[in-house]
Amino acid sequence: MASVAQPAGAGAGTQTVARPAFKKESGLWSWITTVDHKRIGLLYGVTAIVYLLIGGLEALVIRTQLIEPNNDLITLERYNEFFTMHGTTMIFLAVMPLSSAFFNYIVPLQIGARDVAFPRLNAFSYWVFFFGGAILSLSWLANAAPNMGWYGYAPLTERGFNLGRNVDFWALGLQVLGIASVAASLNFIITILNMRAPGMTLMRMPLFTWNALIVSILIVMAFPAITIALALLSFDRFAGTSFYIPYIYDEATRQIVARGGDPLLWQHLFWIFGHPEVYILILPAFGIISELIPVFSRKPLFGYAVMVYATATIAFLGFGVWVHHMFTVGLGPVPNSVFSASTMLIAVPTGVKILNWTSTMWGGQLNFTTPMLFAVGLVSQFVIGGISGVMHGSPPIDQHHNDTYFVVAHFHYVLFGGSIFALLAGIYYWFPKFTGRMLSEKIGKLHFWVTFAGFNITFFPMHFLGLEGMPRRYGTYGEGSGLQFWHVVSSLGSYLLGFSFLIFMYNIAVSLQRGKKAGNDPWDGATLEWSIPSPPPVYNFATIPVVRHRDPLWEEKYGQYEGEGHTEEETVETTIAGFKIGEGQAPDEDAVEQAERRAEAGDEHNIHLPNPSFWPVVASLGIFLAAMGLLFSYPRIPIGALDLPLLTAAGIVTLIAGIYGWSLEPAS
Amino acid sequence: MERRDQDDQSPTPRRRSFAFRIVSLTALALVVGLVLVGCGGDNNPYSHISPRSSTTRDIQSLYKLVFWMALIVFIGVQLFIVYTALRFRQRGNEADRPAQIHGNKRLEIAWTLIPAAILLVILIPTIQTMFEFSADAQEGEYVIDVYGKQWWWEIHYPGLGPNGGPLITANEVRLPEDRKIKLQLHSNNVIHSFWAPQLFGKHDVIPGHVNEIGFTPENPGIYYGECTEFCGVAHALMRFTMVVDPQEEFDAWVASYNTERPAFDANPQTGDVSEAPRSFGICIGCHAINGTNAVAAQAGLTGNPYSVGAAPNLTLFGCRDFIAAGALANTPENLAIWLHNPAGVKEGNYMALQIKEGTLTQEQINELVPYLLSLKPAGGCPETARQEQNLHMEQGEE
Amino acid sequence: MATAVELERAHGAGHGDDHGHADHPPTSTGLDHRKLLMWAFLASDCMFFGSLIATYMIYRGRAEDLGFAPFPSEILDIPYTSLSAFVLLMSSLTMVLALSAIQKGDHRGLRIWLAATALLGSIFLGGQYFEFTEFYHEGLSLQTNMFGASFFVLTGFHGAHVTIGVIWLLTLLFLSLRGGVKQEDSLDVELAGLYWHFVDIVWIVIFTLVYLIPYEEVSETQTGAFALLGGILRSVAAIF
Repeated sequence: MASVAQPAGAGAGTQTVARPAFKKESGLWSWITTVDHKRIGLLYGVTAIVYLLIGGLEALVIRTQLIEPNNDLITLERYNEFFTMHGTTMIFLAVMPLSSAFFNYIVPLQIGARDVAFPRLNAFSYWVFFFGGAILSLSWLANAAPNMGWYGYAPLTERGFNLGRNVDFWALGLQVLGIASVAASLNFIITILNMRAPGMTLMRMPLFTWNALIVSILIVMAFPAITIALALLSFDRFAGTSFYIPYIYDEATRQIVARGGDPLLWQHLFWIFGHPEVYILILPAFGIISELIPVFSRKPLFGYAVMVYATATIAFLGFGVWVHHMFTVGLGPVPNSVFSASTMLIAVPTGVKILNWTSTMWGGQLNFTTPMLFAVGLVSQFVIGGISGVMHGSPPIDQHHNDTYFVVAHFHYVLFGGSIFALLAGIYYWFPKFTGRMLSEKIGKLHFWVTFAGFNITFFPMHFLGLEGMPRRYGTYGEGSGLQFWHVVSSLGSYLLGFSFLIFMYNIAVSLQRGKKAGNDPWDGATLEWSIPSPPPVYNFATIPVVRHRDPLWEEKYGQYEGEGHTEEETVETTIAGFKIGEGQAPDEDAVEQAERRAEAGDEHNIHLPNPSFWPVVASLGIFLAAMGLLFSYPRIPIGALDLPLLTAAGIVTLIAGIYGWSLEPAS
Repeated sequence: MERRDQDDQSPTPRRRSFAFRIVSLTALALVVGLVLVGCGGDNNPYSHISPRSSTTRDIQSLYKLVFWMALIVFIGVQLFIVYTALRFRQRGNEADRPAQIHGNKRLEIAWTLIPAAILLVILIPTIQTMFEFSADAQEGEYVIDVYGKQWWWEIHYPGLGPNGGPLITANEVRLPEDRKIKLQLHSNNVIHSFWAPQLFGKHDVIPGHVNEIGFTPENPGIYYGECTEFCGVAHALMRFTMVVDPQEEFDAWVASYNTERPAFDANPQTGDVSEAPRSFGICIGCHAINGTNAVAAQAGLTGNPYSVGAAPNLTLFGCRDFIAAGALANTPENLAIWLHNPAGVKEGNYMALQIKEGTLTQEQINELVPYLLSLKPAGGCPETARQEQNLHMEQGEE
Repeated sequence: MATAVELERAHGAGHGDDHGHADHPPTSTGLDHRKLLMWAFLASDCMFFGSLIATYMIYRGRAEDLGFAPFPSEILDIPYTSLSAFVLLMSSLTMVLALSAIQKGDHRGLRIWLAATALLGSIFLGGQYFEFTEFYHEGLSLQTNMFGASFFVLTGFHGAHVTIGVIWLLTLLFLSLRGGVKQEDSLDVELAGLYWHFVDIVWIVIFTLVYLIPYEEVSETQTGAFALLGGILRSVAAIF
């Protein structure tokens, strides 16, 4: 009972029925045409880790440039490219897709489904993401890496100030990535709402799945704003509009001419997307932690309902705080007061989460495995980022903190100490499910402590640098400024942090070969993914499980599990919710009946799996070609006379062919 | 604690002590750092925890309030986490699963309300301070226009210049002591942000908008500032100084600024150069010097935002501390380096479109350097503020 | 680019992955996957048009402020556009009739009403094309002033949506003629209908904000509202 690392196959056995035979596909073609959510999840994961390492290398170049004053390791122009690409890569190509990898792999397993609602749309999302990442990466080869900051404030992005293709690579890359994110998120929303196993009411969903749902809704609602912002920017750059341009200079008359555009429109549109984006990055992490802490405390999550509501509140308020990125633009005391209040308000549900996680641990039997170390590390480190966030939620203080290293420290505590810690925890936790083998605990613990130390040594001194007045996005600083000491500390820390990722890679490499066999349920898990073999069969569940409890697997293993605690919890639900979302404990009668009928009819012989399809790849390739065409003969898109670049025309034809091929192809 | 360690069979004590060492060393380093910054802050001209005006003192007192509350919350929460983690860790001898607690309504309501209350305590003075600042910005005895350029600052004192026009200077803002100053921020190119950490907080300089800063400089001295909104290649080399003088010194500076100087011909070919060297002819398309006929340069919002035609006004250049918005200290050697190859000193600057390496010969540079440094008032530069200054900006080494 | 994806999504959904499995397990919400997908997508599209409309509203009146003619008040032809708006609204009616026909198994009715809807949509597009060229001849282009830029971009994106809708309807018509749309596939038609009605509703909003509301009053109401909010907050702050 007390053992946690159980021997193989010791998990609860729902796999009593004969397993249907599905031949396992292999080879490159099978990966390209796959529509299996688990394989797509792995593709997302591997791609994202590659980009995480690339983004990390970019960060190391930045840190090395700053290790001494007036350093000329790289030129200022190159430095601007590095920090822009570091931000863009980490946000859009590392953290978001890594979250997406977990959504893809884990969510269907947690809700007892055999796949996502639209498997081919899922494959399409991955390939569009892949090509979007390719567009951004190719900018290095074209010697035109984006160089205006990941937030691309107009008018620095306008042609008057940025004639090269740098901005176009960025704008088109983000548009393509936006398509991928929205398509994937629509898919997750439908999957989670529509494909839950019988008896799994919304209020019985694992919190990770809840967070996946909420993040998907955020993506679907937030991305259109940046799509429009970027579209208007492209109109400005190529169609002669002036959405973000207040003045132009007429070379002939040597006069400044008013145009009527407003650079603040960009800032508003961008941050209406950009602030929810912050929660898009952090909420998956919160979801992962909410899964891990109960399992390694051997106690259910403290205040499940409140955690759900807190997540939803954070997401909702996330749309109402964007102006706190703009406290120095001079909107006036009234808007600043309103948005300062909403910003501080958002700290409340976040604080509740921290305390609820700690209370989950309180009175438990904490098993400090590597994933648990990362999880508790997150709880502790995120507090630092959260508190400094409240500090610059106050506009007068933000007038000092804004655009200094204090802010850099803040959001790295949130995004590294938060998101990346959780994603690493998630990898350690679910790696056995992905591969059937455990990651080495010994190396894992070393990895954690080196990461923890490297992280703090890198980013804590940035608070000091910020207070000493070091602005962000400075590729150089003066000798007499007294800043060098902390820059050196921070740079040394970053090398340690970089080293920690080598340990991590080593752990993965070794464990893939020689890791301990995991079995179904190595951690004594509470959720459905641990009821099936590791790695799961193509069809996931031979029989779709019936869910009677919030922690279905614990209920099954420990029986009598839904005892006392539950009545109180339900009171919390009803009082705080005010309306019913998840009703009673017994699964819906109809659903159970149907499930039983299906089981009697021999469900395992009736498993429909979608066929592999190459149309998603064709369609996404079309998008890629169209974008490349625009990039490599970019001035030729006058509106009206359709003078499209050849490659773009070819891309559009490919896209249309892909869509029609896809539409007319039978799904399974 | 020790007793527990003996009971503990599972994670080896050796590993924990390794971990403990890392954590404690890191923590120690950070605390030492905090102390160092706390003590050293006063000496750093860019530090914003060493306020030198009423505005920054207001921010500082707000910051102190928030900082102490944050510190208490931080310590409280960390202790809660660490204590929980240590006390409830698995010992391997547990007979049964722990009590399965699902939540506690009262506790959860409490820790929703308590943070909300703490935040309210921060919010109220925050809003008060903001409204005070906006009231401060309404009034001003001296109105000064600041124009953000790529990558330098143009400063206009309306009405103080020749013939009632603006007095135009660059990168060095001279201010009279104890007067209400109102800065108006303009741009016709990209967004910049104007920040002198010891005097006032950041205010963005946005094309199409005019932002205002109201403050009162209280002590004579030299204060440092920099651009804090990313504005392109040389963003990191867009600094400025604010020199606060007693009123009479300030007035003397204004007067000497407006003194007539001998004119020289704009045309380098036919030039009858009375005082300026012939080679200055290449400069006057962009640089103006008051009291001379070098007046072609465009100033203010009408200046060319992205090419040649608008560059710093060089009147009284000899009194400035820095060249090229803080890129180099203003010495004869540095000035020669700058004129030799501006792009090598400050990457991306628009002067380099005209002056490439070798554009100016050594003889021309030898002529120009003494001329430029000679641009000062007859009685020498105002010196009051300089006594205590220590030049924190880089001393050129290119 | 975005429009291509819509077609993509719409078609991925329209002939989706659950095609033809009567015995497929029921969904948790009871709604078909594709229908839910369409609703979620339309929610996203709301934000898309929301951003565009917000942009238009921010620059509303900017051309007059700067004195860059032509101004919307002199160039917008409300009776003409009312007529094309009416045509688009009528197409929603024919869309409803098309759906009800296929639900009754009336294939001929389906084809007639699909064709009618596509035709009405095309008339609207033709009207828009005529309006755009007319404006262009009167001197309004994307580059002329902020009104030109925001007007053409907003109505242009809407027109692109209508175009995709027409292509979708024609595809359904083509499939139906080949016998590909059966009575039990009525959801395929319903999805196109959802999209079509949405595009219509968006036009009502655009028509109201761009054409119907006269051009001076709006900015006053806006400043009035902000002044009121400012006054309230100022007095709250004064209390402390």
